[in-house]
Amino acid sequence: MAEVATADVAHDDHHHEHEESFWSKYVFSTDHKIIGFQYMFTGIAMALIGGYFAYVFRMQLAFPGSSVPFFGLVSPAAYNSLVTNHGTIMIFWVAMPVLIAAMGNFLIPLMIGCDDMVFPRVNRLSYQIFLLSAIVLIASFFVPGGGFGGAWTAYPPLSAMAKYNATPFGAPMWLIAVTLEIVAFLLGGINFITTVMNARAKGMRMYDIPIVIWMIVIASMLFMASVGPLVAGAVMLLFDQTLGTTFFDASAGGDPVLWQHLFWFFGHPEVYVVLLPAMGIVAEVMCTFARKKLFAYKMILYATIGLGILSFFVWAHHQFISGVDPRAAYLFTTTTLLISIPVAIMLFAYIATLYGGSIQFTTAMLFALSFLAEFLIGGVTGIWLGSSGVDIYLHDTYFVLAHFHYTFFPIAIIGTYTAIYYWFPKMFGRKMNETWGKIHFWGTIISFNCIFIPLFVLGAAGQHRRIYNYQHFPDLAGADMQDMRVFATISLVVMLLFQIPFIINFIVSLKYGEKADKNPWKANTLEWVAPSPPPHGNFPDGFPEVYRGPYEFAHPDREDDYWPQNEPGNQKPKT
Amino acid sequence: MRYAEASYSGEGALKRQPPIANSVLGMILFIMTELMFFAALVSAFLIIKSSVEAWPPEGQPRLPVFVTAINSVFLLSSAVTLFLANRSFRQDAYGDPTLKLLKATLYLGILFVAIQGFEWARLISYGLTMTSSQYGAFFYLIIGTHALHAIGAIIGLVWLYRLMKERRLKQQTFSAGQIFWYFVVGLWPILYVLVYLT
Amino acid sequence: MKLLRLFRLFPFLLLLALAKPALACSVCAVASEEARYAYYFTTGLLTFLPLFMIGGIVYYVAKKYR
Repeated sequence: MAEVATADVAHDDHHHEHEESFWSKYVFSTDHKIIGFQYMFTGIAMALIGGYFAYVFRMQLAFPGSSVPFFGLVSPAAYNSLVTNHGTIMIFWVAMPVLIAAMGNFLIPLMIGCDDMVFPRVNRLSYQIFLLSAIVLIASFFVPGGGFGGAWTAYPPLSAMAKYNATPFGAPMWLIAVTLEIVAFLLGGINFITTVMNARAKGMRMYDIPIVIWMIVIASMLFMASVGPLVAGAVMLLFDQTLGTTFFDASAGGDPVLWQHLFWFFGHPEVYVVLLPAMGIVAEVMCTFARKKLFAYKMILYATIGLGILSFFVWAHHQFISGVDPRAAYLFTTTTLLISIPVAIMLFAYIATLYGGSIQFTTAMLFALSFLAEFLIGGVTGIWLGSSGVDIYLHDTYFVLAHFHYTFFPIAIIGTYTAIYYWFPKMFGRKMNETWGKIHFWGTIISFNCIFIPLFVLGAAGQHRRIYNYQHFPDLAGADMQDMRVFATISLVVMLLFQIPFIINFIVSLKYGEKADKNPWKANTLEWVAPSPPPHGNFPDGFPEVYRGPYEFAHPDREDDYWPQNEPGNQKPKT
Repeated sequence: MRYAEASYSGEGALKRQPPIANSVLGMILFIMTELMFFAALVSAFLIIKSSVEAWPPEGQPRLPVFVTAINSVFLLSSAVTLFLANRSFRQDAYGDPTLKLLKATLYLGILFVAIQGFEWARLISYGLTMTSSQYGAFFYLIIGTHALHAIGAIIGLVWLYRLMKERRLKQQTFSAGQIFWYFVVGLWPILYVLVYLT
Repeated sequence: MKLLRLFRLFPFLLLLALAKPALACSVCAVASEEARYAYYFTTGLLTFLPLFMIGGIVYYVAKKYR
């Protein structure tokens, strides 16, 4: 090793010449790349489960009372449980692990030019706790009473009393699983922030850090600052469920709205916690495939920080009709509308990045572009929901559901695919097939829109959420509305089928994909300096030194249209 | 805003130590999360307390304010001994005074937890439990969470003591452990005033 | 004098006087003074505490870097 970066100071008892067994190399590894993969594959597996649940309950909605293939008859309790766990899994066990834990773990040391995280054993522990949390959640489906069915928001008294929720084991297990998952991410967050602050390559100043790393760091800080109240509420709810305390029982001096506040105080920053890494990933991909510098890097960074600060002030927009003081509703409406401004700034900056660029429509780029379009729809519909007046009508309807799927789907699914298609060569040393990628892309995006646009219409027509059979409601049982439900369900099945090309592409490319060199996309950031795939220690030829920012494309002083961060040369003064 | 020169010292040589050591920065971030957790518990407590007519409610045993005040003095003194231990560590890392001060901190902490536990046993026997009233529920929740953190801090100190005896305790590790101890100690007066005195 | 145009809004703004707030919040409007105060205080506490903590840490780190 030619040079020693600061991360090495942290684990100076690390040996490079030890014999590694299968277990120490792949299961109990402290290597950030392996841990990243562990998170990624667990997240993808959980996504399959969450997607399966969505298939089952949508089939129930489209063909109520019929037996669902590969499941059976869906009882009301089963429906509630499916809906609850679909939401819980997708947020906590898919979006967060893949976008933050997997991408963060894999990319951070590579992109900042060091050999591993500063707390590698804490990193391993965080995955182990995460895996335990996933096991607890899945186990909750098989206990008497089944999995928890009180919605992912778990409002008491439904969630607190077994006499209401009929899942005396499932409910506490759900809570324990969520709490464990939170602890895992806290440990991860500590690792990410400390590594980025302390272990950067020589010469990498604050504004040379790739935007995706900043986004993951800011997301981690948001997460850590906002999750305390949820853990407090979860502990109180767990005691209500198991010990018979009455924290949320109004008849005994408690307050159910207290849970709502504690939950949403975390719940709102949480959506930005998942949004920021996805936006960062999209920014990286767009710069590389537009061959253009990120427009207004600093403005994006400051907008993100403003977004983070504002996100602590908007939580009660989830509670407009729960009985909170309407004067407070004025405040929260205002802040909610304000918070759309930083996001809009960021989206406009991305569009400005594309303007005048030389765009290459690779699969990763197609997904990144679709992120912009779909997220825009989600964001705009959020403005309607953020106004307390309109929200009185739209709260708890499918309009809300369509809104948050138009934001969450780009974040969790499109963001994941963008990242995988882009960094697959670095992760595994081979490229994924572009043709199948494009088939996957178009199939996914078109069917996604076909699922959720009908749901906007249904929601505006008054269809409430969390009802297992709309035939029981005369106003909602009309043939035209039911047709839309069937259409949405069929589109879902089509979308799920279109994920098969992706899975096959992924697995086959692992072994037979076109071999990728270090920098197949001709990008500038430091992860493309390491070999594909990077070995243990990441940079066998010594740690890189950084001389400029991460997005120097099409620089007038260069013949090539890109200028890697670690290549010395004319150091132009930064403007 | 000046750029942060992450890896260069004034003379341009490669700086090996970051301005805030890894363990210290990590611990600060952890404390931040814990502080939010306690703030939420305290918030829930204040809200429920203000919605109930009588506080403390009828028929519930009163909390041992005086004994706990003495106990608090023990805990606060443990922070002082730890601070002195750090000063001693900087001068003579593995010397006798350092070890003694660290042991004193440990004993004071264990004494605090033990007396608390004893008082709890008494309260339970008098009928104050988690389910007897909101008063009891919040008392055990908040003070119990603090006690768990105190026990965690004690375990951490034991581990630091072992490292010190084996002469391989790094300053940053010691600082990180101290920060957690000061957090547990510093939080206690706030909880004492809110839970015991009002 | 574009500002004067704003005064055209004034009659419409008077209509706001007709609106009465619907004081449905059982804690904020109906219950005791103490409860309302507790809600506002704890809302402020939980909102500003993370901002000050993060701000403080960022300030401390930035100072150490200089």
